[in-house]
Amino acid sequence: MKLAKESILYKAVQNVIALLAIFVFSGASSLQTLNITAILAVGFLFITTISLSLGWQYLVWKNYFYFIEKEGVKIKHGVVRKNQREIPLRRIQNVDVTRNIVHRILGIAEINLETAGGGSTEASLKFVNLEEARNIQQKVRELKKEEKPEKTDEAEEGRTLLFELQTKELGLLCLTSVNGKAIAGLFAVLGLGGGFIGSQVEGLGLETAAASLFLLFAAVIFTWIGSAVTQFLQYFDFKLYRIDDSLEYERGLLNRSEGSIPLGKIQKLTIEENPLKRAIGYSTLKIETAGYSAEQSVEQGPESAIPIARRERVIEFTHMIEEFEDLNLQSIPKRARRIYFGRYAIASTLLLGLGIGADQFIGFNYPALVLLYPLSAVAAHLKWVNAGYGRGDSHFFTMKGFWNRQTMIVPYYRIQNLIESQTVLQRRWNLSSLTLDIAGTSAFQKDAVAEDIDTEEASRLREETFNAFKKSLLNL
Amino acid sequence: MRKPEKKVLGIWLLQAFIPTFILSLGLSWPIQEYTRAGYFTGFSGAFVLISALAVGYTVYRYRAWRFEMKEDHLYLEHGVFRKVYSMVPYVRIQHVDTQRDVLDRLFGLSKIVVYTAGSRGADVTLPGLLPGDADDIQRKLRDVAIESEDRDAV
Repeated sequence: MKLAKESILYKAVQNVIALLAIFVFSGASSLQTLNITAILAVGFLFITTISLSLGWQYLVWKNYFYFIEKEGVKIKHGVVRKNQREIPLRRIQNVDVTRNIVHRILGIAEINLETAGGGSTEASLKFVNLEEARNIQQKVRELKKEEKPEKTDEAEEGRTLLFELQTKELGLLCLTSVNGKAIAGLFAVLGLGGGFIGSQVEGLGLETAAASLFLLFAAVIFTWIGSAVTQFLQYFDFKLYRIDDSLEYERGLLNRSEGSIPLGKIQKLTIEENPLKRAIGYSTLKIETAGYSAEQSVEQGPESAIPIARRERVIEFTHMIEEFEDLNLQSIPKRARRIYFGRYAIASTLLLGLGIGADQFIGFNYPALVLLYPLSAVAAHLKWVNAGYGRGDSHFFTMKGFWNRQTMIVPYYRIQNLIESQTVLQRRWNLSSLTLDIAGTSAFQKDAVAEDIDTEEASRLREETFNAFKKSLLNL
Repeated sequence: MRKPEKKVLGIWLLQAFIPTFILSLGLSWPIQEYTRAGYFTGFSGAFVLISALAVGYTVYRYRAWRFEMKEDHLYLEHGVFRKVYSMVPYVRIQHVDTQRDVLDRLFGLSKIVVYTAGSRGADVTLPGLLPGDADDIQRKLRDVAIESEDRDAV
C-alpha cells in the first residue's frame, strides 16, 4: 500500500520552509540593498528548491510501500538505498495516530508503530489518509486477535465510551494544573529578592515591598495561565474508549492525538494529585505500558488515561482494569519525619549562614530566613504524611510526594527486579528502601519505591514480595 | 555466597587512581596556600591523603560485594555508601553477556552482565570472575533462563 499523495506536498513544503529558515538566518542580512537581480536570484532559488524537493518527495513516495500482513508489518522504502523492515505483529504494542492542525486540513495522519523496549518508535508512516489510518489500526488489531486463538470473540465488538472529559472537568484540570513547586520556588526567590531590595533602599521600603509583591503575583498568575493553556490544548475533548482488550484515547484541540493502551501490557497504574486536586478531591490516572508512546515518551512519562475525575471514580476505574483489593496503605515509621525535619533544618541553617555572610557584604535581610525553621517542620510533616506503602494479595502499592503525590499500583507479576537499598544516612536510623523495578519506557520514569521503611520490615517485605511474584506467575 | 576474585581489587584501585589524581591536583592549591609549602609537597600530601581514602573505599567495596545463584533468582549484595540487596528472578532474564575490557584482560578476569527488561536493572553486573567461571555462570544463567522462558516478560 502507498502513503497519501498529500504527503508529497506536505513534506516538500516542510523542506522548503526549513531551507528558507536557514536562508533567512544566514543570508538575509547581506541583502540590505534590494536590487532586482537579487530578488530574481532569490525567486529563482526558491522555485528551484521547491521543484527539486517536490521531485524528491515524489520519488520518496513512489518508492515507499507498506504491507500489513498476518506475519507483521513490512515497510519497503528508499530512493537510492533500498530498505526493508519487518516488524512481527506480536511485537507491536500500539498503533498511534497523530494529527496536527495542518494534517487535519489536508485530511492526513501520521501513524507510529510502537514496540516494547528500544529507545524510539519502531516505524512511522508519514503520512496516510485518515481513513487509511483507521483501517490500519483496525487491521492490526484484528490480526493481533487472530494470533491468539484461545481468546474467542467473547469480548463485545465495537467500542464503548468509558470516559469523556466534561467541560467542568476540563476547567478544573486547567485550574489545578499549576505546578506548585515552581510557584513555591518563585515565592522563595522573590521573597529573598524582596528582602534584599528592602534592605538596600530603606527609604522606599513600602513601595518596593508593594512592587515585589506585585511582581510575585504576576509571576504566579503567568505560570498558572501557561500551564492551564497547555492542559486545555492537550486534553480538549478527551475521550477514552474500550475496544476489545485495549483502551483507546483521543484528545487535543490543535494537535489531535489518538493512541491505544493494550490492557494486557499494563505495567503500573499511577494516581496523581497535587495539593489543589487533593483539596477538591480530584485525581489523575496514568497507565504505564511497556510500549513506547510516540510523542509523550521521555519528558512527560506515561499517558493519562483519565486526565482528571473525582478520586472515587478514578479508584473505581482502576479496579475495573486491574483486579485488586482495597488500596490499603500504611504509613512509614514516625522517625522518618524527624529525619526529614533534621535534613531540612540543616539546609535552613546553611542558608541562614549564607544569608548572614551575604549581609556583611551587600546587606541582606537575613532574620527573615529564621522563618525557614517552622517551614521545615511543616514540610517534614507533609512529606511524611504523604508517604506510604502496602502489600496487597496481587498488587504492591506505594505512595510518595507532596507536590505531586503519586500512588502507584504494581501487579506482582510485572516485577523485573527487586532492589532493597540503604544509604549511609538511612543506616544510621535503621531505615531502608524497597524498589520494585518493572519494564518501563525510559530511565527517567519514577519507580515504585517504598522509601524510608524499617530495615527489618524492608527485608521481610522483599522476601514476601518475591514469593508473591512467584505465586503470581503460576496463576498466569 | 560467592565473592569476586581478589584480583579485582587491582582493577578497582587502578580505576580509582584517575579521580584520586584529579582531586589531589584540586586540593593541592588550598593546601599550599595555607601551609606555605611548595607545590610538590602540597600535591604529595593531598595525594597520600586521598589515596588512603580510595584504598579504604576499594577494600570496603570488595568486602561488600557478594552474589549467589539461588534456586529461582540471582541474589546480589554490594555498595559502600548505598548498600544494595537485589533479587533478579531467572524468569526475567532476557540475555546474559560476558564482557572483558582492557583492564579485565590485563588482570585475567571477566565479568557477567545480566539483562532484564527492567528500567534500572538493565545491567546487573557481576565483576571480577575468572574467565572459566564466568563462562560457567553464563551457561547456568542461560539454562535457568530458558527453563522458565515460556512466560511473557512484558
